[in-house]
Amino acid sequence: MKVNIIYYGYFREITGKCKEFSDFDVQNLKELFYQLNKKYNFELNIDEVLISVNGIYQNYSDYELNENDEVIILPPMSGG
Amino acid sequence: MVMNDEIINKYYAKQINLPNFGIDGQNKLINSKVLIIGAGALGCSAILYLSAIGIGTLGICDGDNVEIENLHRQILYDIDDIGKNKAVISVDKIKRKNPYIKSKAYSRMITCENINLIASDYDIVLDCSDNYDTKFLVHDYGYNNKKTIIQGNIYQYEGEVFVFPFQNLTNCDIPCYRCLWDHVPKTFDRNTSIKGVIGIVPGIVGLLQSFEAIKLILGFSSEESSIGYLYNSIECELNKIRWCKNDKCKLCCRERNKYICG
Repeated sequence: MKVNIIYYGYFREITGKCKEFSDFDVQNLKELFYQLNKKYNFELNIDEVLISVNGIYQNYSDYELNENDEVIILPPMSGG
Repeated sequence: MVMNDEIINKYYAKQINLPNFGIDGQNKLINSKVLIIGAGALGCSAILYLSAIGIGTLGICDGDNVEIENLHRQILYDIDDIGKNKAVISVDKIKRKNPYIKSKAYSRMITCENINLIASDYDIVLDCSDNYDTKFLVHDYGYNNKKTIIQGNIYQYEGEVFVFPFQNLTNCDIPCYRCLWDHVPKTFDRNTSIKGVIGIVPGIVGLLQSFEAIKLILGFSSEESSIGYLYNSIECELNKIRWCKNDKCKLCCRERNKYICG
């Protein structure tokens, strides 16, 4: 399933990208995060980040994805 | 200094002439009270522009003193301010920038014990702090006291602004910050002193916070619920984010807790 992923903060740093199209065989956010974690070896778990799909934050990792969804992965950010 | 019509017309002439602004808009700004918590990188740009635009009463709260490594991004301060309290210096600068508004310095950190004493007189609070304990304290206070909170956060080249219009709170229908975070996140982003920061990014995020406050005061904003803006300076992109109330939220669900600190 093709989804457009946008990375912020730590995730932009560790992936080396602001955004990418992914084509993993996944159904939901949990599976997507798992695949990305395998690829990039994140230091944060899915319950330690905020993830939005098409502009809406999703609390549930079993949220089902659709083709061409835009996913933003956002780490804790508190600098001022 | 007393404001009279002649001064208003001269000082604010260019903005008064804007469509949908006018003298009525200027009077709304003059009659508003905004508290800025944190006079660091976010706070400095907010202080500068909110004083210039004519917010009638500005409160500045910060317990820190100016250090030389602040100067590249905390744009309000200069070499002569090193060692002085940021809130006190900010108010000095405000008085020189715009002597026609009121300003007050709270030269201490905001805590559970003092937040009501400091914030109760203000309508809108800009949270320009740099740690989660303060952010959650300020947010929870705003929720429990129906004060609009506009929170800013940065990390390297990116930032985010959250607007919580709790002044509009009726029947707990506005999602809160704790609907997103059911626990205070560990400080993973490692503060700016370790990971670095370029002054322009918090400058922009502080201005975004400021303009959200202005929009609410002037009635420009059509947003009635909480909203988040994510800013990527490298790509020059702004993503708008919303969220729903979380049924398990510790704050705005049925069981409400006052001032959950940390």
